[in-house]
Amino acid sequence: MKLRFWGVRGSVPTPGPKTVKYGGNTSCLEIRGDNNELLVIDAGTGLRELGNYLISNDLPDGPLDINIMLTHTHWDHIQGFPFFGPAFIPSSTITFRGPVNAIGMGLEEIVSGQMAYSYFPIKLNELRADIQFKEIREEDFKIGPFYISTCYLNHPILCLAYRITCGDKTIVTIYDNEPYRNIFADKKEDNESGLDGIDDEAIKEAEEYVKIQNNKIIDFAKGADLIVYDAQYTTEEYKTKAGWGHSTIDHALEAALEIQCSKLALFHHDPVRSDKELDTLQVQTVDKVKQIGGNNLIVFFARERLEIAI
Amino acid sequence: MSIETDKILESVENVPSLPISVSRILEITQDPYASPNDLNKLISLDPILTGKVLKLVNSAYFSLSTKVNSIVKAIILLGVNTIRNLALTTAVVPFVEVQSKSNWVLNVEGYWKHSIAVGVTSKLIGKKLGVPKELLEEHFICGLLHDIGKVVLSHALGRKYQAVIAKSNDEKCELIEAENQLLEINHVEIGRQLAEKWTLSSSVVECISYHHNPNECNGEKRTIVYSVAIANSFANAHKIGFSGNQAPSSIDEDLLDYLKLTVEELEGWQGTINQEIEKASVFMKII
Repeated sequence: MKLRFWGVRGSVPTPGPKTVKYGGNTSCLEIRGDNNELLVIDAGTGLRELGNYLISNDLPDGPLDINIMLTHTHWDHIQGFPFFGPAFIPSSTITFRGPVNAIGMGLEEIVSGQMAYSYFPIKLNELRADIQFKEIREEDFKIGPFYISTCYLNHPILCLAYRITCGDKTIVTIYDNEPYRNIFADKKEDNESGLDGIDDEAIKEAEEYVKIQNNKIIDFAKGADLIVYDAQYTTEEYKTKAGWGHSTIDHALEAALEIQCSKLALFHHDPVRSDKELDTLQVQTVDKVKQIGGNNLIVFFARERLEIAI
Repeated sequence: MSIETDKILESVENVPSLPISVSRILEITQDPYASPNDLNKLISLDPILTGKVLKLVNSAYFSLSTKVNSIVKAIILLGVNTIRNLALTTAVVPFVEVQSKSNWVLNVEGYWKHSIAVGVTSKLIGKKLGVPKELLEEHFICGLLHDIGKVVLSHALGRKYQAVIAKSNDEKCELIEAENQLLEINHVEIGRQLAEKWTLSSSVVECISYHHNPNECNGEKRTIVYSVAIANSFANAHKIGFSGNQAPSSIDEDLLDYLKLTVEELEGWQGTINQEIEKASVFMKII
């Protein structure tokens, strides 16, 4: 199995001279099975370049049948779709899969909403390709040679981790995700209006449940060869960003060591992160891995066009 | 009188949250800085809201791989915003739709206090028995929801249910007896069907099913069922709140023996129970 990154940036595209090396496009992964079968994860702005690649590389062999799995529907994971070349070709078949949404909007409504006439000149139903939408939950399914499982993550909107197995190799994506934390312990109620006794119990109950949920994600990823993990922040930055739904580099390392995977791709780089900073963080992170005894773990910051074979 | 339970259960979807809590729900759910603790308390203190939020969280829509049995867990899992929105849409929208023809024939405040009292007492019993912490909240929720069938019947039948309450009052018989005589269904059966329809946990289903005849429960849920049945009798005996039952049965000594509890112990908790209800009332701005 192979994985190639087409977009690694979190939140918003960041073109410019400071992001030439790692790239400024938002989330998009290309996964290939042993016989070159295709799976796409996320439709951030990296999807545009992937589309062009598929047209020149795959289309000559026959019509494109593309499965796009969305981790969730925030802008940086869907924004590339209106510019996805294969969607304009009549012979293409595109199937979106993505999580249900707690606010009652369907997956199709959300993805097509960004193509309303006020935002974009071509509506979803004017695209020439055959486009389907399937809402998914925590479940197992199969696409071609890929066995896929999903697991809910902790993000301000329902977001899925994907576990993709082809042959005897497994890739797991864990983004966008912030480790579950005990939000009940954040702020104590004033005693005038609160039920103090019940609050303390809520804190204890939440503490236990947070552990269970975090362990659930680790168990979900156990046995993976490659993990693509949200590492948007440094530990210092996280102090003011708790609750935003993203992890730190340290969170990612800790999880990878628990999962005992052999490769860890740090992903979803913060928009403020320059190439220079990422290079520095790469050196620091590799040192840290050595210090904490993760000698068997290969860790790297994902960059556009980087291809990993497992 | 023929009662079509399917129709009654359908009408449940429009049962509003308790009128006494709606203004508080609006206040907290519309506050973008509402704390998880506020939200938890708000939902956990309203039997209908608790049932509806757990129903939604455990529905096929999310298809969670493990069942969520408390509001704290629901908030950790889906976040403050999602749960706040669920609470707002499930509680307030139906209220606005039906408030003009609201069919509350039960004494709302009395019903609410009774439900809280049974929840708090059941939880105190759970604590005394050394029930694991992660299951204590379920003791509260089972107590809170044990009489939810009364809300359903009250809302669906209106004046007809008023006649049932009047019969229980006039003849000094248990409310469930009056229901059995005048209706072809009672609050236990309709509550059980609702809990199953809402896919609430099996503990909730069994506590509703057996709170009037706990001796018939022989399964693994016996401890929680007995706790709720004792808590119910205790709240009735001490007139903590009132849920329409003018002639409640007394506390069953066999249940106390089984759980190794004494009436004296229960009596000793009365201050704590009243205190919790008072705090809850302050929080819900009822007093």
